[in-house]
Amino acid sequence: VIGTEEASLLESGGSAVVGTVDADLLPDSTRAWGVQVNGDRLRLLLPAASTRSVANLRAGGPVALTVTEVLHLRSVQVKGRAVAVEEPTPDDLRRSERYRTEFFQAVHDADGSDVTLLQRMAPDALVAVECTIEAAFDQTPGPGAGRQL
Amino acid sequence: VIRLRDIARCFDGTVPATIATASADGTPNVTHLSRVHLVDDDHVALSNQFFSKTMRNLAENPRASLVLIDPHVFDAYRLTIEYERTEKRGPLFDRLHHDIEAIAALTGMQGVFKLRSADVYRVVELELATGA
Repeated sequence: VIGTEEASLLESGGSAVVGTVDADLLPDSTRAWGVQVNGDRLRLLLPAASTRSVANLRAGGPVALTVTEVLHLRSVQVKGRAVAVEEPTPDDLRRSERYRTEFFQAVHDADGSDVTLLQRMAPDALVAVECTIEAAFDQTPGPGAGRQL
Repeated sequence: VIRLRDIARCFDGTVPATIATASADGTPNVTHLSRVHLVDDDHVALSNQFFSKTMRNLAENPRASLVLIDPHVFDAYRLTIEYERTEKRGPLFDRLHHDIEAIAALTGMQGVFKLRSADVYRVVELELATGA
């Protein structure tokens, strides 16, 4: 479904946001704090405190992930469905730590934000979510946003 | 209780917001927004520039989840919003139009972004979501 360029962007230190929906069609949004692409699967690291999104995914609900380069705004969205919600592994925690460093540095480089303050955004605890990848879209801002890849 | 006026800094456009919507068949969509506009204590407005997936979803299913970031301290706020009305002229439309023109000028994209309408949403829930 996605090529190496899209996979690279998804795993980068870009701004990573997640959309889920419950059975009553109420959407919820949160951030991902680490993304791993394994073929047609995604492993997302989400804040454990994002209780609505985590519950939506525990129910096997659909998921959307958009990752945007902080400086150039190149952006890709993938959609799929959750297949498992798990405790994060030591590898997951290292990936999340690497992601935070890269994301906060990218924001700092873009607008001078204080990295120490940015760290306030980070969650205290994570859950790992295994998802399928069923479709991908170019989400770069402009009239072409939403074009299926 | 947090009021919209308490988080006014989140609406200055410094940090992009996030919006999650869902189509009538329950497929979510999530994207960044350059700016969300504060209308009054109960309402926010979004600029409708293209007939984007976000706007198509909101036409089918009027509720959305917004996350706004305070650019001074990086606290996050999650808002559940529900579509209320569309304005195609008037002070709010003019405010959003001028904002889009300014962003287009800054990014060298004059003529690409054209405001179709100012869409007004009622805020049904507002919560602190730092770290969540």
